Amino acid sequence: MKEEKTLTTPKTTTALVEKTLADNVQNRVNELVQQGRLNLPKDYSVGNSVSSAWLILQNTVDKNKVPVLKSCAQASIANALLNMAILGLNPAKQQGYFIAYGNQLTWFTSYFGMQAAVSRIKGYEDLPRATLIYDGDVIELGHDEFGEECIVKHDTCWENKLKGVIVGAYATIKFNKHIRTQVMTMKEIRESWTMSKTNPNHKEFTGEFAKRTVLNRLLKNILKTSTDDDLVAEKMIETENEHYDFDKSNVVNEAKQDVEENTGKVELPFEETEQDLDPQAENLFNQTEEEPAFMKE
Amino acid sequence: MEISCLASSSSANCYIIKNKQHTLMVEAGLDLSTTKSRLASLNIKLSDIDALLITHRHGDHCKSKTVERIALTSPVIANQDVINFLKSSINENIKTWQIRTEKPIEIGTFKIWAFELNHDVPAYGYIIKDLTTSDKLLFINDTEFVRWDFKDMIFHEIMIECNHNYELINKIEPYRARSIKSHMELGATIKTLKNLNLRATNNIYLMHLSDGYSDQELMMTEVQKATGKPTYVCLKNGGFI
Repeated sequence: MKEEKTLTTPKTTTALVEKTLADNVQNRVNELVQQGRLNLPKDYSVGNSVSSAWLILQNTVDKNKVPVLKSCAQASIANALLNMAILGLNPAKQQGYFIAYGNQLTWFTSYFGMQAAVSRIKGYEDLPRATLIYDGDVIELGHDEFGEECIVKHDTCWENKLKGVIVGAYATIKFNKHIRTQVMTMKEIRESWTMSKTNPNHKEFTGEFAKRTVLNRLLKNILKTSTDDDLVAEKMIETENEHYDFDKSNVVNEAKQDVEENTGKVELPFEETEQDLDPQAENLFNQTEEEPAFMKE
Repeated sequence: MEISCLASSSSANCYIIKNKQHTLMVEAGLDLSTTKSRLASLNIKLSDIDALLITHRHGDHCKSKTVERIALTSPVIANQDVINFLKSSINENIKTWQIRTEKPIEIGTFKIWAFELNHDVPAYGYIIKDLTTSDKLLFINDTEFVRWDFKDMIFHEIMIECNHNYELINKIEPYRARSIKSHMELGATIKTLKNLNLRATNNIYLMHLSDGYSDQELMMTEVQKATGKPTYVCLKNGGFI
């Protein structure tokens, strides 16, 4: 039931690739809609979003400054675009952006994107919101009728915002007629950032990222406990997990595999190497009977 | 060929390679005053340096102020990425000499070949030949692995990164976990060394040990055991053990 088809495209010129990718994404989306698994907003055009994405992708580079359209596998580009389309998002509205990890392109949903995507999940009423808590703000914490932590009162003032020291954030959403809340201290927010594959500090746009993080935590708690077969919810969790490492042993295994597969595999393409070769090398390998000279030392 | 270490760790790297006629500095990750004082302890003046060789643009290998000062009197040899970085962070006219992987360059009585490494920015490893003795040094710093097959090339001295060992990996904070993928673990260092023709090798120097995640005794013993060669560890504040 959860199986997603992997999209692949043949190698062709850029314009053709764009068209093939766009068609592929459109076809897959159509399939999902026909199966009743996906319900895109009426005003959302897959074609337009893929075109916007394509323009952005042409100027997106990986961490080695190589254009992602060159360095990333086409199947991963197609899947990143498909994830974007299933979530009903458009990068031109800054609802997300593309990040490359090695040769894998991924879709990263922004705070705005999260707000937009969530509003399509069954049971949600009203746009979810996240609010920053500044140093000096007066916060009254309480519990709602289900014992869930909630904000009873939040007093702030211009001076606190002006000083700009963020000490926490909370997100609220109305779900099946109930207000759900998630409160996080800045320490908790920073801790969750340490798992990020690309940007563990978020030194820029700290506030926006803090809002995104607290909203994401709230959504995850709700989505993970839902029993509905909701493709949007599934994709939100799946795309989010692509950007965070929750297990160090994965990295260790990846590194071990890299070393195993790559060490000493490519002949060094040097000019003038001959004079620098070991003059005794040939002898060394021919001495099958006798112990090689260096062993005697 | 005489090898000295002025600094070696994730916070700063700086090494001196000299023969009777010329002096090379490899990496300039120390601040200017520490560079000067550690050079002084080796009886070397900044003006004695004939060239500065840099592997990649990270701050522990390439400290702008230090590079700027050295570039006043001698050329900075590095790859395109480092040179672009220096030109934008110091000034357009800084004295540089771009080294390409296809072509060796000669500076005084040293001849230098470059090869690409696998780091998170473009990084080069070097083969440095002392033309007065024909001795060769293999210099490999920050990289995840060494993909090259050096065939029967012989190296008299080897300086190679040995950043961390998996025994200590649990101490790495989660946000730094991915960074281990840009540096050589003890196993990778040993695997690389065992692929080399070590017949003529005199010494092996382990560089760039991580501050919290490396066990220098273990590294030294393991490398020595695997290669049968005298092995030294380059120390954080200069010198070897």
